[in-house]
Amino acid sequence: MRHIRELIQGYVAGELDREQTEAVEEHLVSCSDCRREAEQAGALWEMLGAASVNHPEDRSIWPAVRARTQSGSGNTREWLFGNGPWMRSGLVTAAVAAGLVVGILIPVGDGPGSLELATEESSWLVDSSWISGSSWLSEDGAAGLDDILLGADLSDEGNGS
Amino acid sequence: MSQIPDDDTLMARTARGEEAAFRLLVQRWEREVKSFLVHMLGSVEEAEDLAQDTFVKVYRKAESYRPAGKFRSWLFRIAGNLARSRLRRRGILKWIRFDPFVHDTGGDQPGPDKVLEQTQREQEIRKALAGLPSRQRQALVLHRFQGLRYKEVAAAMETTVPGVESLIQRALATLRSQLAGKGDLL
Repeated sequence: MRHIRELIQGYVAGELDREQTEAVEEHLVSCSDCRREAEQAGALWEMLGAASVNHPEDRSIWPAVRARTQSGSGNTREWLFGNGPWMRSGLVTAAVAAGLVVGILIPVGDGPGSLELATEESSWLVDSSWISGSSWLSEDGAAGLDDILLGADLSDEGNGS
Repeated sequence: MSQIPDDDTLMARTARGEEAAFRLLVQRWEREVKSFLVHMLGSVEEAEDLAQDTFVKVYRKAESYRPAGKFRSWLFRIAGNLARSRLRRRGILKWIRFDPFVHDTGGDQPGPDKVLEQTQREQEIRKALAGLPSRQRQALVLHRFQGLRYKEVAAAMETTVPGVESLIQRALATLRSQLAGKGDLL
């Protein structure tokens, strides 16, 4: 079994099975460090729960969804640019090419701030994630070059088996 | 006694063009989806906008949807991807200021100091939440606010249960350090 300390968050969140729950509770009786850890984890969990936003609007989005599905219009982007694979790959290629051009044309490291400028501009130009809504970026928001060059996985909402 | 159709049945009927089934599906889930998106984006308007996008996608994918009793995870996967995509655009379009968790709470009601203090604390928590990396935030919101189990969160985020645990642990560690000293036990 994993160390008890690693199970504390799962215990607080109610994610443990019966055996694990009993093991944690038994341990907490005798270990003041873990007990304190559990108390803190529980306090944070409660604070988070208290900060939950209850959506105040009772107005249903159904009329708007219905109108959009009946008219066949998705959203403005799709209307303007289409949403077919050829369009996605074409725009990705164009965006990468534009990013590379900007990266070459803007001097990097020649003066204060120039690197930041090049990076920011390139990021703006190569980001075409809005085209597909797929997950191309890492958790911290950094795009992997492979992801961009390979066009990433655009079928991110497939529901599998 | 009429039986309430499950989500997979409603999806199948939606795929056959039954508007009433799709309507039921939207009305069944819209509140949860909007709530999730408000937590992710911090804006009611954007949440409503993306909630519509989410259900339009659901409608369009109805024919290819394969029933496996995991509709909720699939739905939140769509909403989550849309939210993260929107967050990425915000990160790049830096001139659009992100105002974390601005939402209509029903008007300003002057209350006692305790209420004010509580409100401030909630705002601090939401602000800290809004500063988390998007995947950590997504995992935490799905689990804590939408009530999805680790397994469902993993399905919604196309990762593993240990992966979800890790995301949530890191999110909570960050929140705890940011909120240290602001709560009774933190």
